[in-house]
Amino acid sequence: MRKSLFKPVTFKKGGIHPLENKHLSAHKAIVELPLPDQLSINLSQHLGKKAKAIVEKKQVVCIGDVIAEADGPFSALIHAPASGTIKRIEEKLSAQGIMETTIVIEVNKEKTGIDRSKFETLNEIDLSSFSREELIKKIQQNGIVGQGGAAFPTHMKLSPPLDKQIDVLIINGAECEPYLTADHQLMLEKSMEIIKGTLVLAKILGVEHTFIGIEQNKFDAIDLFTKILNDQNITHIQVIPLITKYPQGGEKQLINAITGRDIPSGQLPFDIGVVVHNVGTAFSIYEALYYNKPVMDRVTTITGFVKNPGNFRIKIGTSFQHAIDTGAQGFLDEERVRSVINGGPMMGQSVRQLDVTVMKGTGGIVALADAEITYQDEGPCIRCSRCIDVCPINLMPLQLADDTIMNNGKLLRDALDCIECGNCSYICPTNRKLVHWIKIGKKVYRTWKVQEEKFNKNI
Amino acid sequence: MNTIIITALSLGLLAFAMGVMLYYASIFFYVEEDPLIEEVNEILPQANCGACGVPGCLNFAEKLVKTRDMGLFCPVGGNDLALDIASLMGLEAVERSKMVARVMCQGGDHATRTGEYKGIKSCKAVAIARQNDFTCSYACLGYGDCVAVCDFDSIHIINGVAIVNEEKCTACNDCIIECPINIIELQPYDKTVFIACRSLDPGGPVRKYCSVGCTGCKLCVKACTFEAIHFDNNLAAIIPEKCTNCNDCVTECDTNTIVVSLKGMAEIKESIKSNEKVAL
Repeated sequence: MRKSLFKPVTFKKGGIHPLENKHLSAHKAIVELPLPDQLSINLSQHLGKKAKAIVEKKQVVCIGDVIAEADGPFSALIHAPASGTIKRIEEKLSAQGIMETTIVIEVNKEKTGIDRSKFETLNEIDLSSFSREELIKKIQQNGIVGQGGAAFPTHMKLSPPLDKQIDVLIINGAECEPYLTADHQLMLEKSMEIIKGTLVLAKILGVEHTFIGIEQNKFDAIDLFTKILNDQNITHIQVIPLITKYPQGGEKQLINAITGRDIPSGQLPFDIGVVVHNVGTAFSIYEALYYNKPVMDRVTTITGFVKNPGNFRIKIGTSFQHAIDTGAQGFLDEERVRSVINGGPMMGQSVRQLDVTVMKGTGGIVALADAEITYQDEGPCIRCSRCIDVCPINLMPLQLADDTIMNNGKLLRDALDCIECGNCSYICPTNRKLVHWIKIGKKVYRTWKVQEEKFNKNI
Repeated sequence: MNTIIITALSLGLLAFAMGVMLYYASIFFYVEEDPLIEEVNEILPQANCGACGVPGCLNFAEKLVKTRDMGLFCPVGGNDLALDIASLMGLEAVERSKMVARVMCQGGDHATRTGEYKGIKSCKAVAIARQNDFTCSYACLGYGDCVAVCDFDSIHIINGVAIVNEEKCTACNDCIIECPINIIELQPYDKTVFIACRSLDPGGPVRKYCSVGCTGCKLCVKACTFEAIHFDNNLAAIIPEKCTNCNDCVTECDTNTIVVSLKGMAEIKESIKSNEKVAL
């Protein structure tokens, strides 16, 4: 195996090393989850404006049909993940904790096979025969959004304002969240496909340098990708090993580690010439280009207090209950489960009910039991400054929390820069809920700003 | 002796010189101000709550005198104040009907919960983290952010839900802006009937998760002879312009969702004891 030529790098400020707990699901082959009886797909699968349903109750749909169209450019299409009948369209609680308009499909289990006539396999495509616009259009038409968790519409990321010069493309294979191994497994099983997807992205952006960042704990993936790129003689894509540190997978941290550049407050990666995409997104692009297959499922890690933790390919709209029961074979002891998290334990959120469903951005389902969660009341701030030491954005969490508690909107502009990674809450020795306070602080700042502007007009 | 005389004289001279400077400064730097502004400011309630849309009572007086716009209204002083100001200014008063804030929920202890929220005890905190542990997604969260922000002691948490004391409420809007799930509404004080629920869920789930929620049975719509009840998306709502306070809908509603508003804390406490068909 050819080793990467590069020395491992990392972001310059802050970071923590939580227990990884990835051993529960690491190296478990991706298993396709059996189809559930019902799929509930909410219209807000992505950042931006939610999609508009174009189906009605009792309508019959086929796998891959468009069931919701994008509402303007900052939105994405949604496709039917399985064939069936539209049961109803209702307001339902989403995995993100808010009520959303949801399309419920009664799945037709007879038609489980993918209708092959819809998805022709094209083993080799000549990228040079496609124009940049055609490629972006194909990505848009297949409903592709970022698979890293935030679900930003990919076609928008690939169309930065014309005055921005993009010179670097980074593929994010860091997967820094504890417990999650979906991206790792995808990299091991679908390496060539991810590279092909990356080549599409590189062509669209017209970049000279492409880097695939992978954390050192996934050394087998680093070696595999390095070998393939070397064998295929692809010299403009390099694998960069990253020191294992949380939140290495954060966009700002990844860009800083690989290029040394910093994104100024309030700006985006394209403002400094960089575009970042998750490995899962690159894989979805491959499926769209080579198979004409829209986004209908994703690989999610189901782990924690379950009988069979692992990595599963799950259809969008599958309930968490079904995923845990049929994929992970249920909880180890239902009485002792205290929390089921949508995402990872650092940035994910506990779900209120288990009938919420998997979305395009759901990277993990983590079940935690009573022994793993210790709840303690907040203590006073002892001004130890550990939160400042670990913050990757160079903020002062203790000060932001204090200003929020004192309702000092004027001083909270910096709260907007917080990426809510959770380092500060994790490290605080008196259990202060710092990320929660800072989230509130963002709202306090915005409310203050609106009131200021209103009052300034009125005097 | 000499030192004392010299000290006293020099300091005295210094004080005299400063006095003269101050006298000339008070003439030179004198700011012409309309005395009416101070007169108006004297009779304002000095709550500095911002309900009028201007920051602070002195600023309100200034704006009023400068623009002579009698449309500027102080809800804390109400119509009585408007008449006093009008007589001071020599203009016609523009009166407004008294408005009050009302909380569109009675859930609290009547509503079921799905989990146990363990975070920061504030409604804003719950809403931002999307960790509302009531089964109902439209429920009053009951942690009292509205109570903390009210300058007039007009809103309290009783039995786990917020309720407004309509006698004291000045419609300053602070609680309405503060409520993170926007279930407090401004309604006319003299329209005494309202539907204290915002749940858009259909009847089946509502019946299970709250004993005082609107189940969409529409008995109120049928009972109203003035066509003052409007039904949309599994929720009934009263049209204030058409409502005559006849209370027919209150009698018909068998989940006690439609209520007659209570004026004053004494009444509120009384009704909790007697458990009548009124707002908590």
